[in-house]
Amino acid sequence: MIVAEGSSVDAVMDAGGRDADVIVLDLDLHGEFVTDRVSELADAGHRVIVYSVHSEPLVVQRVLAAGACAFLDKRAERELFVDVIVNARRDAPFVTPSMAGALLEVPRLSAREREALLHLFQGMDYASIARRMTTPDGEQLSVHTVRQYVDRARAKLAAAGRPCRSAFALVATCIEQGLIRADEIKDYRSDAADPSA
Amino acid sequence: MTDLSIATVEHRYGVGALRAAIVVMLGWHVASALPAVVEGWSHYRPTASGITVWVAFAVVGVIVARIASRGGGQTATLGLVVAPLLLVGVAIVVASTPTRSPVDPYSWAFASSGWFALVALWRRPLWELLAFLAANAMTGLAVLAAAGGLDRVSIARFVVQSYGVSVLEVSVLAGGRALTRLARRTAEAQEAQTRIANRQLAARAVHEARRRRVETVRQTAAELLAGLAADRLDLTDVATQQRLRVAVSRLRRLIVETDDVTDPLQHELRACSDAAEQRGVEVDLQAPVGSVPSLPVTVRRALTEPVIQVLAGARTRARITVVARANDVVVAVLADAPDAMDRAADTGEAEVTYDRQGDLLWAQTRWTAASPLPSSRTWTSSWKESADGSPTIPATAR
Repeated sequence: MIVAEGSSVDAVMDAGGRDADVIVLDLDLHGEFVTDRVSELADAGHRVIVYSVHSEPLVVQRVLAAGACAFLDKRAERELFVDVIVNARRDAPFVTPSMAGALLEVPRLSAREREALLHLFQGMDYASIARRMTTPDGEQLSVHTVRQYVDRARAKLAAAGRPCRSAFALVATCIEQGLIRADEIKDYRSDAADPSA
Repeated sequence: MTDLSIATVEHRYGVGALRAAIVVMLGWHVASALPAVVEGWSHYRPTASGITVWVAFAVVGVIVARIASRGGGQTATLGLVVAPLLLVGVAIVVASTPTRSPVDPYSWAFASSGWFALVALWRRPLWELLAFLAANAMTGLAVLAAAGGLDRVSIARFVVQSYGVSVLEVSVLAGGRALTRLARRTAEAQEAQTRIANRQLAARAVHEARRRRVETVRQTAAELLAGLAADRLDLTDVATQQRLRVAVSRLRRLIVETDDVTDPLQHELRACSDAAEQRGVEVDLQAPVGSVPSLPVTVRRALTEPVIQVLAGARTRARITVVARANDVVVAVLADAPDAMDRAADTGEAEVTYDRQGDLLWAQTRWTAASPLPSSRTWTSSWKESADGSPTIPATAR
């Protein structure tokens, strides 16, 4: 259910947006870029989904680092709208192709995670990616395994990123699902503190 | 052709001439002045004056030679210090000889002093050496006059002697300078020749590059243009349309290849997609992930060629992505196109892979820089990446 809508962040907040489970934010509100509001909303404990035509990897990296749950390309990823919101509400990882490009820059990716993210960014669906990737024994990967690679990369970013409620919740879900182990988190955090490591 | 600069050549000739002057100065002092000192030992009054001045000249000579060899003596200071010392020495030696005359066989200092002055004034204008030689002659004449020896014969002999002891020094200095000047002119002429030759080479290279571009255009478009002109092409034929689109995109790419931009690969991909966008294909050209290393034009062509082929068949939409790391660049295109009519030929510059996903055609080109060999833990995935994430070298690039 849509709790509130409006043409500025403050208007939505005042109209009851504070109680919403998920906030969908357009970066370009009447010519004003609200990129810096993402961290503010994330710090206030909101789950933010950024919905924008500005899908350049640098922009996506910035809003994800600021604490956004997901990024949705307004032109190319409209059909993922519902999935993204549902997963954000469940604090489950969900990676759109535009997010995959940004995630390629996350430190400590394994070769397989990188390969899965690369194809997702290129626009492939999970079934095609699975078809293109094989295990060391020559067996084809399952869609489930490919999704795990992608989601694990997302979890690594959340673990290393801005400490906010949505990120904690996402990491918790990932640990619950066995995507990452709790003891790995401090490694990702130290990488984020020192990217040269 | 020379690889020495004009200044270097000039410097070397200058140093060579100076060394010759120093050798003459010291050689003259030992081979000509010393025998006179020894021979005239008993004739000097006071007796020690000959050897004392000889030793003093030797000390002055060594010091002056060291200073001049190290590039000193640019200012007037050295000449102003050394010249009076030399003149005093000349006066003492001439006044100590039995005839008190500059033409006396034991008046060696009158003939030597010019060589010392030559080295001391090596980097000074010629007139300073002439002035010293004149002062030298005046000193000798003054001693002669004081001794009352100014008869016509003595003066005539004095003039001849003065000329004789001056002309060599002046010739050496003027000759050395002429030689250095000549060397500089020769070096300048050679450098001018080198410059002209380089310009010719550059012009030839530019011409060759132009010729290659014209050849590319000819291969790409000449046949199609001729077909269009002769009304031989069936423009409703899908294959013909695709060939025309490929040709148009290649020409657009060719035009922008020499543009001076920060990211030429992205620039060329945009040129490649322009034609598709103009006929209504929604091209989603993503900004590159990572920073694209500097690539030669042949590699960029290999990377963009599959994109041109796939876009030529695209009906409504296409997504183009570039993912770069320091040692590999992956360009991919995904479009609702039938199988590419001509799959881009493997030029050996990059590894091309095609695949289908429903009605979508996917083409990926990967360029890998020559990099360390893959680790033993290599995964056998479809285009092999080693477990630590560094790509292996595709067979084509090895």
